[in-house]
Amino acid sequence: MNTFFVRCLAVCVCVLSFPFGVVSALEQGEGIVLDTVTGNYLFTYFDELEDGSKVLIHGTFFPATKISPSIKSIFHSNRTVAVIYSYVVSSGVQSRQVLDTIRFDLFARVVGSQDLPFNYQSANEEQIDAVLEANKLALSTPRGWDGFISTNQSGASRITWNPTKLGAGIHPGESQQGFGFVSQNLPGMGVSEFEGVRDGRNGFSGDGPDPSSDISKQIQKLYQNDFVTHNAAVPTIAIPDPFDAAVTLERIQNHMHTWIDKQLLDPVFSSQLDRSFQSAISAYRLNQPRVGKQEIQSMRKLIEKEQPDLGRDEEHESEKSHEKHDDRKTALIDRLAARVLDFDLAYVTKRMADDEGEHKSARRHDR
Amino acid sequence: MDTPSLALAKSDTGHRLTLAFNILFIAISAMTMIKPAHASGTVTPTSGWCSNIYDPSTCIYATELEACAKLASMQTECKYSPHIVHYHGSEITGDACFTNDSMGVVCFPVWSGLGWMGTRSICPARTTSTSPPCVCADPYQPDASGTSCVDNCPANMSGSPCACDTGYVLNSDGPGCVQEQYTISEPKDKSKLPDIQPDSTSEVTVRVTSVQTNQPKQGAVVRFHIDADISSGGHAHGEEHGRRPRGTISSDNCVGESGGMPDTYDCTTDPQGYTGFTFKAPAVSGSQSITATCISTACSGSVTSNIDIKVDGLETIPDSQFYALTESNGVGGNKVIGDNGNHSGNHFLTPEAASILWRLAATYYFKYRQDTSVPLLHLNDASLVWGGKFDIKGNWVKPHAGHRKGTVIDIRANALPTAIPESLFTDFEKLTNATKLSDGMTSAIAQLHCSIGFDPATNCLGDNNRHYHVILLGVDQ
Repeated sequence: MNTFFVRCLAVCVCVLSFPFGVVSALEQGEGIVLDTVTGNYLFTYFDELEDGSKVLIHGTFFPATKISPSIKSIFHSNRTVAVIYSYVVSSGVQSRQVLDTIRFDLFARVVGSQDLPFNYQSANEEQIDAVLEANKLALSTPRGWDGFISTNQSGASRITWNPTKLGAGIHPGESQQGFGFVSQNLPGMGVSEFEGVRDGRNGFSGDGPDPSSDISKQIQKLYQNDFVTHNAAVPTIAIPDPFDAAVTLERIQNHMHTWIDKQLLDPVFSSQLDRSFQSAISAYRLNQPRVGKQEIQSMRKLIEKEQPDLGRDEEHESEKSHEKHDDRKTALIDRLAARVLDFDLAYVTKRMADDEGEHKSARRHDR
Repeated sequence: MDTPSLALAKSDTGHRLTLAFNILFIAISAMTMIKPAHASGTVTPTSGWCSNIYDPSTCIYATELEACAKLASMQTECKYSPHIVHYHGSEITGDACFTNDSMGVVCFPVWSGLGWMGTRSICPARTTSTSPPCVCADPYQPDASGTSCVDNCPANMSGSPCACDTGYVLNSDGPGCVQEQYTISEPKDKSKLPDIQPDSTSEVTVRVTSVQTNQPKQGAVVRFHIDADISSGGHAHGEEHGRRPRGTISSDNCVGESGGMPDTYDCTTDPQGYTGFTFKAPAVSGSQSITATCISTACSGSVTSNIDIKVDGLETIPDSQFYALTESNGVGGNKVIGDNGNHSGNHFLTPEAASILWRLAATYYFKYRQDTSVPLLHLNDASLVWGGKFDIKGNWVKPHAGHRKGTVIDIRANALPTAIPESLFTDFEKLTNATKLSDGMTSAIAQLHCSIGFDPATNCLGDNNRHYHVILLGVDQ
């Protein structure tokens, strides 16, 4: 579904539909067209010269979307409360570019990362160096690649991996493993973003169209959407501190509801899960962990019934098993979504068991 | 309709009456001629058709048919379809009023006094008699036209009772009326209009009211003139290379000043005394003034309001060890990069954009600090102190299309040793793309810009003006 052509189609529909909606905003002669042979966008706009005359300028936008990537998400919890995420990225044989950018936009920081100081005028080089080094170490990065973390003032992070060598990356038909990080947050269904090596450099001959013009806005859209996305398991659900099973389950449930619109979850199946969610949440609120655990188990059974191979990481799956799952048209939940949900539910059970163990241990110590 | 026969209409009595009527008519006319109107205290009598020729008070009808209708209305049965029949015979001549009964049969003439329709001269109200001569009764006096008796009004008053003439109001300091004066009464806070952004609009309104009564004045003409502080908004070049653009207006109530005075408009007040327009700020930031002067008769007052056209909140890019804002001028001093003397500063950004710039520059610096051939980022034009159109040559026109809101900066990328090396262009674009903006989803964008005629696809080969146009907040503006 994420082939270059589909991506192109999506962008084209987006871009070329503008003239129908706001046709009067474009001056005659202006526009953007997709060159179906090269896959590049040819744009034409009016530029005003210093003497006030107008000239038509032609340019080319070289998209970084001539790729057909896929990603396998692997996640497991370690002995601490963190979740370890790793990814294998593949570039499909249909790709016409080398894949050279892998990116995640996360809602929070990853374990070990630090922020560059926002009061930057007072920051010294040592501090900044320390932050950048810490951020490098916070990422698992395969050889030949560079990992980079950028965090905004809300604490949301953008993680980007690029090859260290210009023009390098994942060639069509190849895969690269070893991308990863650790997060304090449970996985949910997010997206990873990918870019390929462009066929030419993007820019303008002159200062570009007037930014307030419609053609400029359309060209800007090309820049802003110049990537391909793929579903991936990414840190999405914040774990409350101190841990609270009911609150965590509520968050998992809320996130699960967003899958319906993305067609990752059947609404009837969602309602079925909702009943168990409500029972489990109430049970934990009423301090009935055994009942809560039973409800979680019943949810996990429902999920497993839909996706029987949940125990296997994508990493260890053969292409054949993929094909087998692709044939299961009747599954009521997407396979990756099922793995994510099962993991999240299991995490709650595990944390509650750990807490119970700690309490027992504490009671023994008390005696 | 049947035509009444003369036999039916006339008799000997009618003959005699016609003669008497004619004598009376002549006598009255003669008296009117002997005593002309406008003699001291007299007014011209009015003439009307009578429903009763003996009673001057009934001589109030403009046409004989109206008088005939009145006569008909006084009948009991034969009162329909009043109409006039003109008789012109050898013995008698005159107009008679006929009516029909309910069956449509013509009745006898309805007599008006002597049996014929006639007119009489009568005196208007407030005279000493009903028939001429018409002498105004005390204390009235003839009006200016000599057709009616009116109060003896003081200055600038007329009518009865006396009322101020149009355009006059009662004199609070004495008798009579004085000319009404108008003035611009609103806006009350006259010195400053709210700041607006370049290319945006603001409503400008003034109100004209009477000084004496405070009532709104409709139809007053207010002349608006728009002017500019030519060096404001960071444009130190003033009008050396061209006239600074002023704001423009749009309004249904305003027209350009008839003499063609630039940036001057005449606007007319509405029934509530208001007039004004939508002020459209130019793309260039700076201070402008709008002066409103009431130019109608008896209208005075002038109001000047200043309006600052600016992008608020721009700050000078702070100094940093990770980028260069200045460089050697070659003669032992430093110069600001991009400064050509036309503007009072070219390094203004919003704090958020400056923060992204700093992060980008710091990351770039640390990535290449081992390589002595890689210089700091050299920062060229960002925005002017108040944003708006950035006219590099000081001529109020392009070349900068963006750079208007403090969110975009140019970074040197030409062949100079202080520029981003061409070998790092892709890396620089990737670093820019890796920034994380406040919306959590977007990043800064680096676009390579060349001079017109050079191709960015081939790195603007041979172009000394090549630079990265970095859209720090993800949206070019």
